[in-house]
Amino acid sequence: MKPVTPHLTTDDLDAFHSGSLDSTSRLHIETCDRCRALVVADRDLIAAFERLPHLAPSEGFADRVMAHVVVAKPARVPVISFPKLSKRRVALLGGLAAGMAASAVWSVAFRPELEALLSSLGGAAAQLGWTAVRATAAGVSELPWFDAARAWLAPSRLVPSLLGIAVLYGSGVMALRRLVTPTTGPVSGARA
Amino acid sequence: MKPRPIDLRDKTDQEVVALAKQGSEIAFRELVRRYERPVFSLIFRMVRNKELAEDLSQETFIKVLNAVGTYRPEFKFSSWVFKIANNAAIDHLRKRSLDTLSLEGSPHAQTPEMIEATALQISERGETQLEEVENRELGRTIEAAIDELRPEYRSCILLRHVEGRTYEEIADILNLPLGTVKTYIHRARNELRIALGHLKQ
Repeated sequence: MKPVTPHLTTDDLDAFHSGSLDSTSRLHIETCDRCRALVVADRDLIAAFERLPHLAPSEGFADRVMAHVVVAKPARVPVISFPKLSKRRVALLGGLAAGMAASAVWSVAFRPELEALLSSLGGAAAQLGWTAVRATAAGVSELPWFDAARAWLAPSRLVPSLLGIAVLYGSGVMALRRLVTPTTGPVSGARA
Repeated sequence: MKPRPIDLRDKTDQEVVALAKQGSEIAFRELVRRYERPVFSLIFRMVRNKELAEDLSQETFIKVLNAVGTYRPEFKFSSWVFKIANNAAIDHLRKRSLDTLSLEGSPHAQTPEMIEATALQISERGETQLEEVENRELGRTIEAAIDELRPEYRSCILLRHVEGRTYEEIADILNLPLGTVKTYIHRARNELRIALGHLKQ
């Protein structure tokens, strides 16, 4: 029978295999021996391909692969954990919170008395501190090494002493750097 | 209590890859289990040498798994694996011409034991003995016909009709324009139809 429509294109062949060929082209297959033969041969070929087996590598393939794979463990992220709230801890925290609340309420209720108390306590504490400083200074000045130390701290001796200390510190740092810096030359036993 | 081993068979490729990125060796092994047969089959049908196919498959997986940290989940994992496998095979084909090895075993095997030892393991399909013989005969003829194709045609036709990849995926795997992939597949089918024409008789 003579075909009335154009022959199938390669896209038409794909459409045939995927079941989406339009009705005109389907009709063409019915009327064209050449295209019908092509479609059948193509279908048989694809079916034969689909029957081809998947081949397997030899035993232990996965182990051989894994022997060359670096399974990197990701760095652990520190997790902030809170201690478990036992009944005892809850009671302690509750007591603390209640005490703080009561203290705040009392401070608001008795503000003038609190200010007077703090003022007198502050004055007494300052006086006590100053007395302690004076007593300590008097005690230190009575010590046997006080005069020698005072002589070292005189302006004429202070500058050379500080310079000496700086030189000692600097040479110490340099020596430490030399100790911790790796050598750049070849190391015995190292791989080339 | 000892933790139960994780079963990853129901997970998607993307989920397994995510676990592999976290350093799970089980996930790495699952990826090998999923793709060892398709990758080995593709490479074997490209290079036609069992030992070489094993080496190239191993090289493919080592590359894939060592670079799994760089894999971007917006791409299909299977396409990535096949791309590396195909590149390994094509690179090798460009370097040297190849000896062939029958699926039935080495041609140099002299005893039944040697033939058995060198034969490839094939997935079970639950065929009858007659079907198995017929399919084996047909398979051997098709394998020989595939072997005659140009390597680019071979990659395309194997990915399309053995691995069932779409044209778009094949274009992505082979870095080829979609139209070129379609052309290669149709030309390959034409050549195979001609080569296998005698089977109709």
